[in-house]
Amino acid sequence: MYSDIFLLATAISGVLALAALRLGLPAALAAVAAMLLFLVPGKGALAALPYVGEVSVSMGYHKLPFVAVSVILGLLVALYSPPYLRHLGAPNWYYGVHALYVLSLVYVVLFDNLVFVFLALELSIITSFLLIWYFGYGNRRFVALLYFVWAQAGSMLFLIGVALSGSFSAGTFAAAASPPCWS
Amino acid sequence: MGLLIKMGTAGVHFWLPYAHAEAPTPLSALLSPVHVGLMAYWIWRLRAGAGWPLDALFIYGLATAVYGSLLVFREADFKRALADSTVANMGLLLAAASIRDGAISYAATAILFVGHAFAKAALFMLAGLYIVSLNTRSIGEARWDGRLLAAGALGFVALAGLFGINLIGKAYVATGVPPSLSAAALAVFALVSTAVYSLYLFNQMYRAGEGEVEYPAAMYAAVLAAAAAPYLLLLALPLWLA
Repeated sequence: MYSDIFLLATAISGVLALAALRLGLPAALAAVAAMLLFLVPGKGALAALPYVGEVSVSMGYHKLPFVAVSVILGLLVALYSPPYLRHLGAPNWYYGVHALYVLSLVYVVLFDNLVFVFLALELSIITSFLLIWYFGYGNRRFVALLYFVWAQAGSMLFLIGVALSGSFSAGTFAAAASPPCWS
Repeated sequence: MGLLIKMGTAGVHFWLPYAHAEAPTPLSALLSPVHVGLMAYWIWRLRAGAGWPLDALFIYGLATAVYGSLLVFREADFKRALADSTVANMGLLLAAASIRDGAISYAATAILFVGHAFAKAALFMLAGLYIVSLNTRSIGEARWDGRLLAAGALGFVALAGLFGINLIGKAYVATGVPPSLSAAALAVFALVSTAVYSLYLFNQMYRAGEGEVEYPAAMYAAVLAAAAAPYLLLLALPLWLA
């Protein structure tokens, strides 16, 4: 079942990413490498929630290029980072946030429930915001806030659009001619 | 609309060059090529149910590609130029995800996403290599030795869509142009302008001149691997499309 593989890959990469907050590069590399497990093809349901519906995840032909590139570039960038982060004077926790960021990008594609796609987008915004806020250039805190606000506006509009459609499943998504709340 | 803001298409794009240029470079190398590009997957995935006006989105994507390309010419900063270039490429990705034929649209979106991701990550990592080794962000000061020039050439040619899987992706976009003369003219302009700005940036780098640059081997290896990927993937493309 794909849901078991999904949970296993999440547990391994999640624990390693949290470990990377202290241990740095080796744990982050292992965390991102463990995300290759997500590439096993399949489909499964993690849970069924009231209102939100079935929390389904899947991996297949259409998703493969997007997820594979996210993980491979996540690995390449982690290997590239040590001299750069020494130059910046960044501490080990950078690597942990990097691994969580890559995990969020993978989740954005894997989830078929659009509320959970939104949650994955939130994780991606928060992790990238933290890295810009602490390690960016120039007026980094202003830029981080600008990024956070615009990225949030995008995610919120996405969620509102999905909610108006009345369907949270990507498989059955259809824009309502008259949104449920208006009728 | 939310997905378009997150892609940074024209009109709702102005946050993108700031965020992607001022982020720490290893983050820029994921934020710019991958994060915003993933929104194209969701536009493609949801378009059947959403009932969006695909032809209008296609034209809007092409217009964004032209506008983003023009933005690049104002920049002397390597990272900001690459961030502006992302606006242009997100325009192309939006056009790809809006092609009427679903199968062609998917192929165009996926191939352009992958090609752009590797080329842009390689170039951001190259910009970061210059920050570490020469302490500069100016593309006009990016001195090169043979190896750096080779990596730059691979990255910029792929980004331009002149070769590598990016060329195939652009060809798919060209096949999806709505049947009108103005759309076809805009498409030609968009496909050419995204190539011209890449060559302009490569020329800027070339004009910095040859010189001794000391850089960490691990950084260069990552740049080269990402820059070569769009060409190596050409070999795998027939298997994947079959």
